[in-house]
Amino acid sequence: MTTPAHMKTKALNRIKLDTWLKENPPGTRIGDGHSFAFLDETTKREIRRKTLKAVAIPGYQVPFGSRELPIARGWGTGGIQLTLSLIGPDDILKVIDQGCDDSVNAVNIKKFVEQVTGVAMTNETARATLIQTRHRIPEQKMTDKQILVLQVPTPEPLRFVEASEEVTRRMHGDADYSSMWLYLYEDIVKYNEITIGSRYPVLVNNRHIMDPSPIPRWDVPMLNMADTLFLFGAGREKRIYAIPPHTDVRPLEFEDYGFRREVFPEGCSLCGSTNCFLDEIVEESSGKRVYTCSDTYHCKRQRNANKGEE
Amino acid sequence: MSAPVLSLKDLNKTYGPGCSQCSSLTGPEAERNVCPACNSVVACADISFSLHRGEVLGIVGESGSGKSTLLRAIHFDTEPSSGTMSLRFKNRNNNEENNGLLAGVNGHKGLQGLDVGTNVFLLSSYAKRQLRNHFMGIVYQNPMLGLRMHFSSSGNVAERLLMDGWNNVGRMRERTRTLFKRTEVDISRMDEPPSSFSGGMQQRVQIARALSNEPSLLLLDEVTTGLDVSVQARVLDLLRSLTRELNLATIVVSHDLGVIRLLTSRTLVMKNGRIVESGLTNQILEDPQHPYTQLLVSSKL
Ligand SMILES: Nc1ncnc2c1ncn2[C@@H]1O[C@H](COP(=O)(O)OP(=O)(O)OP(=O)(O)O)[C@@H](O)[C@H]1O
Ligand SMILES: [Mg+2]
Ligand SMILES: [Zn+2]
Repeated sequence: MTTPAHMKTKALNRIKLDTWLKENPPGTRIGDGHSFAFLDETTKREIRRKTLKAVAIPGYQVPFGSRELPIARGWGTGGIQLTLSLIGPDDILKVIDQGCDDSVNAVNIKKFVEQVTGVAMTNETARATLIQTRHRIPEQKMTDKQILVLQVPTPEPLRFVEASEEVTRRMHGDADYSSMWLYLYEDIVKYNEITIGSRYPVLVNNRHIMDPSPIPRWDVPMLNMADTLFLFGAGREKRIYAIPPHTDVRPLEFEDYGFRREVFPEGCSLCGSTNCFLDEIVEESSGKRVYTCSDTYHCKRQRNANKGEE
Repeated sequence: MSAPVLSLKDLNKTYGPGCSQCSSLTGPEAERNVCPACNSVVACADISFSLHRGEVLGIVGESGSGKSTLLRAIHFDTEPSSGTMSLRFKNRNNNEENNGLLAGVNGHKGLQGLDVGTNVFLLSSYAKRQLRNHFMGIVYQNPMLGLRMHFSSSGNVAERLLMDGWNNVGRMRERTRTLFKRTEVDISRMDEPPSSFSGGMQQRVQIARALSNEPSLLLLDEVTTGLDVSVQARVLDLLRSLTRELNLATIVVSHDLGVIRLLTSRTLVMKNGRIVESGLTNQILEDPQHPYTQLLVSSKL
C-alpha cells in the first residue's frame, strides 16, 4: 500500500522535482487512491471556489490556502495550483517562462503536470486549452476557449506605496488610490516620465487597481476586453485574482503623460517581426545589440510562415 | 439667511466603554472628563452648533478640553460615539476633471449628491472620503499629520486633486503654482519635500493643500502654535486675508485668545468636553459670562 500523494506533501516540502519523480515511479502517480493532478479533490475544489470568487470580483485578491508542492515556492507554485485545480484529462497544456517554452522552469512544470495528469503538452498557442505562463502573454490572440494562468510573485500593486497589508486592504476596500496616483506624479516630477517597466498597475472594471504580474508594458493592453479568462496565482503570498473575459482593464496614466508600450529600434533578428515584444541581447564579441522575439513559439511560427512565402 | 454649511447636533465622543453615569460625573461642574465610574474619557459631549458661509468660528479652551477631538470628528478622522452632522456643499460639475480612471465603489464614483439633512456620520467610508476631499480642508498643528514629508511639496497639493480625478499633470502643476503664489511658497522650490522647509513654510504648504479643491469648510487646529512670533504673525495674516477673500466657513481651534481675536467673529468656549459659553468673539472677550471664560480672559489678556 502506498500513501496518497497529497498526504506526503509535508515530507515533500522543498524536495526537488527530480527527487520526487524518482521516489514516485510512474505507476504510482495517478489512480489507485492517488489524486488526478496531485492535489486531492477537496483542495482542488477549494481553489476552484476561490477562483470563482476572483472571477466574480475582477481584480480583487482572494486569499487561498496555498499547498506545498514538490516545487519550491517562488517557482510558480501559485500558478501551478491553479493549473492543477482546473486541468482535466482532455486538456492540452502549454507552459511558458518569459515567453520561452523550453526553459528549465517551463520544462520542469510541464514534466510535473504531465506525470500527475497524463495530459498532452503543446508549444502551440492556438492548440492549448490551458496555458500557464511566467511574465508574458502569448503574442497570438487567445480565444474564449482558452484560459491563461499567470504566475505572480507580488500580488499587491499598492506595495509600491504602502508596506502594511492591513492598510492596503483598507485602501482597496475604499478604492482609496490617490497614493498610487501620487507615486506616478512623483515619478514624472523626478524623471519627466512614468518609469515603471514591468508590473505596470492597471485599473480593473473601474474598481480595483491590480498588479498584472511582471509582464512587460507591451502585454498590458492585451488584458483589456479580451476573449480569454486570465487567472493570477501567487503561491507565496497565497492570493488568487482574475480578469474575466470582456473586462475593462486600463493602465494608470495621465492625459499628458500617457501609458506607452516599449518600442524597439529594429525587428527580430531571427524572424523579422516588428509588431511583438523583443528581448535585447548584447553580442559579447561585437557589443552589438540584437533583438529577438521573446515569445519563442511566435518566432518559430513566424519563421515557418516566412519559409512558406519563399 | 441661507442654510448653514455645517450643522452639528449632540456630538459625543467617548474613549472607553462608557456607562450611564459618564454624563453626570464629568463636565465643567465636575471639573473632569474622565468618568470615575468606568474610567472612560468623555472627550466631547452634547456639542451642537452651526456654521454659515463666510463665518469664522473660534474654539478655545484649555488643553484636553476636546477641541481637537471635535475637529477630528468633523473631518471624519475619528468616529463619534453619537451625534449628527449635516453639510451643505455646492454641487460641482467635476466631469471635466474626471478621467474615468477614478475608481468607484458599488457602482458609485466620486462625490454623490446628498439629501438635505443627511447625517453624514452614517455614510460609507468611501462616501466620507469623497465628501471630505471635496468639502473640507484641514491644517494641523503638526505638519507631519497633514503632509507627506518626503514627497514633493507640489505632490502634496496634487494628491488632493488626484483624489478628485484630475488627470492632467500640467494642469495640476498650474493649479499648485497658483496656490503656492497665494500662500507665499517659493515656486522655484515647489518640487522639494516639505522636510526641507522651515516650520512656517510647511504650514503654508499645508494651507495650499487644504485649499486645493476649493473647499467649503476650512479647519485649522492650532496652526501657528510652535512657530516663531514673527512667522506666526505672517501666517495669521495670510489666513485672515484668505478667509475673507474665499468666503469660506472656517473653524479655528486655538488656546491662544490673540489668535481667536484676530481671526474669528464667533467663539465657542470648551471645558472638559462641553461648550460652556458661545457668542460673538468681541462680546466674549470683553464681557465673559461663564466663570471659566472670565478666568481664561483675565489670565490671557
Ligand atoms: N485616542 C485617544 N484615546 C483616549 N483618550 C483620548 C484620545 N485622544 C484624545 N483623548 C483624550 O480626550 C481628551 C480631549 O483631547 P483633545 O486632544 O481633543 O484636547 P484638546 O482640547 O485638543 O487639547 P490640546 O489643547 O492639548 O490640543 C483628552 O483628555 C485626551 O487625553
Ligand atoms: Mg488639540
Ligand atoms: Zn522572431
